[in-house]
Amino acid sequence: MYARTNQDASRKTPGHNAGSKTPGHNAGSSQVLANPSQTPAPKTSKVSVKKPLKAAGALVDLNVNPCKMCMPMGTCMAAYGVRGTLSILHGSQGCATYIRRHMATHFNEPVDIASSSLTEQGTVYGGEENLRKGIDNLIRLYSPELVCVSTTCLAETIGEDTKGILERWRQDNPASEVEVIAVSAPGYGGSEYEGFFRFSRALLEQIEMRPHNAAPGQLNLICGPLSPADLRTLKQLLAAFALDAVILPDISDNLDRPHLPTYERLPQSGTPLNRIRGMAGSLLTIELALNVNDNLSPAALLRERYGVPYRRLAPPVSLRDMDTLVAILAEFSGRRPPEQLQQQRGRYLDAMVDSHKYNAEGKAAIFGEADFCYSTARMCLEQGIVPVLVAAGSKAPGLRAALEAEIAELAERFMLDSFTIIDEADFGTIERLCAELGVNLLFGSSDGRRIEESQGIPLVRCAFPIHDRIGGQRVTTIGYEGSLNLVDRATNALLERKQSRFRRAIFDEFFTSPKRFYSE
Amino acid sequence: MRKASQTYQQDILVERRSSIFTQGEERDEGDCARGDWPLSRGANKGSRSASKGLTSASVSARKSCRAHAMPAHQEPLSINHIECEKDSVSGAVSQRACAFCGARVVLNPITDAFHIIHGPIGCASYTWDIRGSLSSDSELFRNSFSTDMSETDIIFGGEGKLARAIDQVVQAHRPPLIFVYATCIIGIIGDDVVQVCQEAENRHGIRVIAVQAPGFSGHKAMGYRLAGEAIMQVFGSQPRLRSSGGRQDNQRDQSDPQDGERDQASGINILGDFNLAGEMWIVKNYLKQVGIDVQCGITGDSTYAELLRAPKARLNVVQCAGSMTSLAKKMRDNLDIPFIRVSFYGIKDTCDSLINIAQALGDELATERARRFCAEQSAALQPLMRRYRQQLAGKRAAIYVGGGFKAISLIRQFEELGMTTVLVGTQTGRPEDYVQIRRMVKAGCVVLDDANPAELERFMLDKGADILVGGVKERPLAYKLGVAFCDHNHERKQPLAGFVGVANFASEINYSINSPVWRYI
Repeated sequence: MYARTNQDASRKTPGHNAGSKTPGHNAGSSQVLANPSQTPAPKTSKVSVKKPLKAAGALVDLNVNPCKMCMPMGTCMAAYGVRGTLSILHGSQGCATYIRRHMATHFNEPVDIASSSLTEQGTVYGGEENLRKGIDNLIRLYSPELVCVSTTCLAETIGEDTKGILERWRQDNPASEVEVIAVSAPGYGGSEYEGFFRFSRALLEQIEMRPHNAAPGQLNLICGPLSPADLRTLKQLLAAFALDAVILPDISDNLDRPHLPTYERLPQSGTPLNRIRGMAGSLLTIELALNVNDNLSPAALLRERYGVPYRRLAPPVSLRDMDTLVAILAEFSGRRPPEQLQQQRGRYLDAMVDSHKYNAEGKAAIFGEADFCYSTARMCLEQGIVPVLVAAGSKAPGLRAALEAEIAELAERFMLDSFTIIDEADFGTIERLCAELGVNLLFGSSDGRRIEESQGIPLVRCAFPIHDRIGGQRVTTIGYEGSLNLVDRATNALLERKQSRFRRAIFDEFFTSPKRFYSE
Repeated sequence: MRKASQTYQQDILVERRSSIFTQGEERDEGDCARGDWPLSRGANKGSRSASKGLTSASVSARKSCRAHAMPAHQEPLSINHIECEKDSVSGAVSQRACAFCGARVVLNPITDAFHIIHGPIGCASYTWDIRGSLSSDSELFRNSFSTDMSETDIIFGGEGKLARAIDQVVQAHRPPLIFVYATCIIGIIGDDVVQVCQEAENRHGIRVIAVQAPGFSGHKAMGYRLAGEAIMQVFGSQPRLRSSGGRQDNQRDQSDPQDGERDQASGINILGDFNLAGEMWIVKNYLKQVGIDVQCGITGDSTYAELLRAPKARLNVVQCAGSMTSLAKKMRDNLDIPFIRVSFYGIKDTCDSLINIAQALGDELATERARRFCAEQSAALQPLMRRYRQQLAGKRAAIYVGGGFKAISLIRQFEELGMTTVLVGTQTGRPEDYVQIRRMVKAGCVVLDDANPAELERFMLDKGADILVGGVKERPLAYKLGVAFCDHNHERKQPLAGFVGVANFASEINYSINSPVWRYI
């Protein structure tokens, strides 16, 4: 209601304050604001497309502004969580360049990803020579401990036997101590999410595992694409329970490096390979990912091959999901949650109460990877923010069933008639649904900025990639404190909107005399 | 102060050596303004220097400034030749992108076109609205449309899906122009994209142009060429001589509002300006002041209708030579439009370009106006430039950009600011660019083609660069090395062209180089 009133109001009186409605078009706005009594003639006949770019039932064979990326993106990102690892993409040069650019602007870190730079010739006659030369060059330039060879659309389609190539490379380099693994990652076979887990799984499958390397009472923690700051939160949590855990992958330092006197070209942090070998001897695996099936899951592999039991949990963004993780860690470690953690929880609860009325006006759209959508939606539901649109960019078959009942219940309480949960969504669809469902808050990557611009809905940037703001590597969403940070950002976005609009909105709605002009 | 990575054994790959050259044999000791920095790395690195290939003497700071003179026993480099325009070395982390990328960036700023990327999702995902091209009209070009090929589509072929997608686009939006980019696997699975596009053209009566740009067909420069071919197709399949008006050979001209009025050739086309941060508008404003008509900007803020006017121009001026020289040559050969290279980066290049354009048109009045206009504008900038020179004189710049001509402009701009260029690299520079670069830079400057991060790191440190001009991928590397950074790339949000751009450029350099943060590093 609130949003609609405002939109209608500003449409009624286009003369003043026209600039504020179109934040993306700054050119003329200061002029307009400086002299609100005059409406300058528009400089150009700007065609504002009233109809949605992708209307319901239109453009069904096109993905309009993708809400997903490709598998090699995931493999490259996950590879940054293993010490001394470098990726080489077996395919065209562009794949590596695009992924580097995407990661570099989000994490604000140097990102080196090599390419086998396949050419026409390599495509026709096979790329073995290119790939082998690439591996050699990479080793010469960086001295890595592990080289991850990810395939791409191209390598898969021309039928490269990447594992065979690596086998021959090993035979020809018997003295090399560098581990080399192959990850099958055709861009058409899944999104960056699947790529992320494919790396972890391929690593566990292809390096020699040594159960005896495991420390006593060792725990495995398998993570999806969380931010470096979130990984640090998890490490603190594990330390709080005095647990010796192996995290796969651990991007906390390599993709958020401190500024040091010496720049190391090869990232020096991340989980060491010898510890990963020991994951086979752990007592338990916790996998913080829900949208993985047993063929993709590293935890399932560790159980199948080495008998390590596992628990699969949602990323701990909501209070409930964090409570579950804490309870499991308490049980596993035999320790009570430390006082500090209980205080964090208490402060989080306190904040939830403080903000609940502001949050109740929130009608959120959450878009991105399925796990992100699910865990953020659970958090919203606790706060009383109704996730009226939950849109996963790739296939997420279980998403609807997992969230539907609870969203319906909250929507009923707050008297909202409709909400939508979809997967394989593109931004063309998300944009249309945001307008239809009266969304006033967005959670996701900076790819939501176009909706932020066109519909004036604030966007809480909390997922990869974030290109237009600083600090992607520091975004925190998990744990009591991370979640609280996320909620505060959301609540403040709602408050900012309300604070900046209520005078004008009420004036427009109730002040009826035509003679006076309202000016801020 | 920064030190280089301790982990490498060999910074320069053997196959890269002939793409790197250090200017001159004589070194000016005064070159080493920051000579104090790497003393601490002496012994450590010196001990490994034998394995480093290109260099053998990075022992002390002062020596490291002369480190890159080729030792006599190494394979010789021709003094006048730097190897470029070659395929990237596998595994070397080239900064270059692929042919698709080149085609996409050149065509993307055509604002009212539908750009459909036929292939799996990645290529569309990573190129969605990532550039700073501005539009005065449609915002359609800021979207990414993909056929999002799945495994099934790969097996059974994507022609049907593409044809349906085009039909749906026409039905929903009826754009005047559709580009279909065929990415890596399309040719491999045998989709006949040209045929699908041709049939769609026949079905709908609008232009549907296939851009066959699989990534493996070459690096970015190949994509530029393919984009040029696509633009030639927009002009019409038959060569249309500028004097003929050309309407009869192409029924699609009906959407050209100016046709008929413009039988006479007039005005110019601006090639290779993508209206980043409104730079096309700035250049057009200058030309207007001088009295020169612009038929069409290619491709910044252009529309289909405007593109159709381009063949009627008398002259092409080529700004981004790397991306547009091939198109300029085609337009010269097929449409009889001569071209000149211009650059609107820096005071001198902007002035020279405006005057050269007027002269090339044989327009004396315009030449005179251009001279006066440039003199005024340059004079107005001088007090500001003097202040910046005080702040920046003696600082050392490293340049790593896409094209050679831009690098040349930047070297000049740094000179205007009293700075020295110590490193120049490009992704797609051509032999003639490098010849000119080598003529301009001072002794000791490293010139390299298709650099990788290891080389950039190595040479920035060895040369004591204070600032790097580069693309967004290089920014974090510079910062990690304690080197300032100038965003002279396609994502910029402030114009760097023209006289206003000179001031912005100087301010960008100054803000970064003279930031207090470096004191704490």
